[in-house]
Amino acid sequence: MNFAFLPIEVKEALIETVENHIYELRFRLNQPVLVNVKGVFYEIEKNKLVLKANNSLKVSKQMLENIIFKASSGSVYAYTEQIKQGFLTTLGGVRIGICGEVVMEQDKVLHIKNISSINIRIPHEVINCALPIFPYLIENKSLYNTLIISPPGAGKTTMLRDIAYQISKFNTSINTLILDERYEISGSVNGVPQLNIGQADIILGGKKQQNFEAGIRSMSPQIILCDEIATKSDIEAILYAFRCGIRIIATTHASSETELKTKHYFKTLLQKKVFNRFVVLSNNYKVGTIEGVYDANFKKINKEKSLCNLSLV
Amino acid sequence: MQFIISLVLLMACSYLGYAFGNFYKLREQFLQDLVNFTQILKTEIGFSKEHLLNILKEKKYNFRPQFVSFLKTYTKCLEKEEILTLEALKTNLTSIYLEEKEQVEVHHLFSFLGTTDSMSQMESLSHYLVFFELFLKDANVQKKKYVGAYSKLGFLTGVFIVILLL
Repeated sequence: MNFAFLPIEVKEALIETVENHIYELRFRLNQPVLVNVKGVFYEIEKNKLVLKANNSLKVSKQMLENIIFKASSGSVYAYTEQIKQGFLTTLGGVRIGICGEVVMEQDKVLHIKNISSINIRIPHEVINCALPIFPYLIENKSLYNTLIISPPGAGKTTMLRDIAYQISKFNTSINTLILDERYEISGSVNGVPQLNIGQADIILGGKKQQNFEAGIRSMSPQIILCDEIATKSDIEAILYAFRCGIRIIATTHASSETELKTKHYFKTLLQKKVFNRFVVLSNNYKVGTIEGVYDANFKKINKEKSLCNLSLV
Repeated sequence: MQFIISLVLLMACSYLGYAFGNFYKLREQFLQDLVNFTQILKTEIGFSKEHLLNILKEKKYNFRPQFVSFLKTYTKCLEKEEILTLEALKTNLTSIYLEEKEQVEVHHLFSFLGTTDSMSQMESLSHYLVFFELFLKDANVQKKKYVGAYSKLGFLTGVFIVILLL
């Protein structure tokens, strides 16, 4: 993993840590730098990771600005559209979430100024993590419309990425299109995917609705994969693809299938039975615990709870 | 022998005059390249949103050696992910007659480049372009005034020395 954009003190502290065990780094202004290693938060003292530090490394405004400057290879303006959405994707598909003061004009975000927090999420490519669920998603020579449900940080995107990879392994003649709004699925930098997504076409950035329309028109996909559907326009885009006869594999935030049913916008999708398979992930045992695979009527079809080994531990 | 010495003196004085005048020419050329580069940046940052390093490395522009050398210093800073310092800039600009205020403006622009969103960058580039065009105008006037004058002055000084010697 390329951590060149991190402050030297942080880089030195991470040297002895197994790269794959780092989940995220949190930089909050005037607060200690926090490093999440296998789910446990550490502080940094004298270039070492410690559980409770007396004189821990604190985050300064300059430190936050430098991280953004370096992560953008000295060209912050090239990431304006991403920063407006509150993130920035750098080499290796590392996603930097940004918090600050949102500058708006006529209901449009112009920029984020006075950055106060940065959350650096390290992507974990786990090849074959989708294998425990993949047999349940296959329908003849294609796949069922599938919705992956989980709370944040439970491995939805990792699972979705591996499903894309498994599809190309399963049948290379399937035209798969990935709508990677936040560059998280493919971890693309300068248009080049940094993570394994198999043989798929990718639309980076943009808005889901536009991407669905443009992608269907231009790439004639048989399957579309997209991350985090949440808004009314996302649902409309899904319905549009559904009416076009395209298979959809998507993810959304919810802790369970019961919670999903309470979401207002999803009612139409559920009533029309757009999705035939629901995969519920959680952090209950470890990251990526498969709570269940359900059919269109929310009847559990997998026998028992299993781990898709997303935690890499 | 006396003739040869006189000729050498005349040529040396003429060359000195030309060299003094040439500084104004270099200054004008540097500022012309700076204005052109700022306009290129406006296009690349505003529309293609190309990374600075790609703009500097991959695009082939016909800049003069003194400006190319300055851009190399700036590229090195970017590669090290550092912000261009006034000292680094001054080290590189010693052979070019940029006035103090011009050096400060050039430094301000290059230390600001890449640090903010595209809108702020475009606004700043427009702002600096106005400054640089004014500097260029001034450099143009000075070039017209001094290049010929120094050459003539050098030659005349040479003639004067030769007459004195004779």
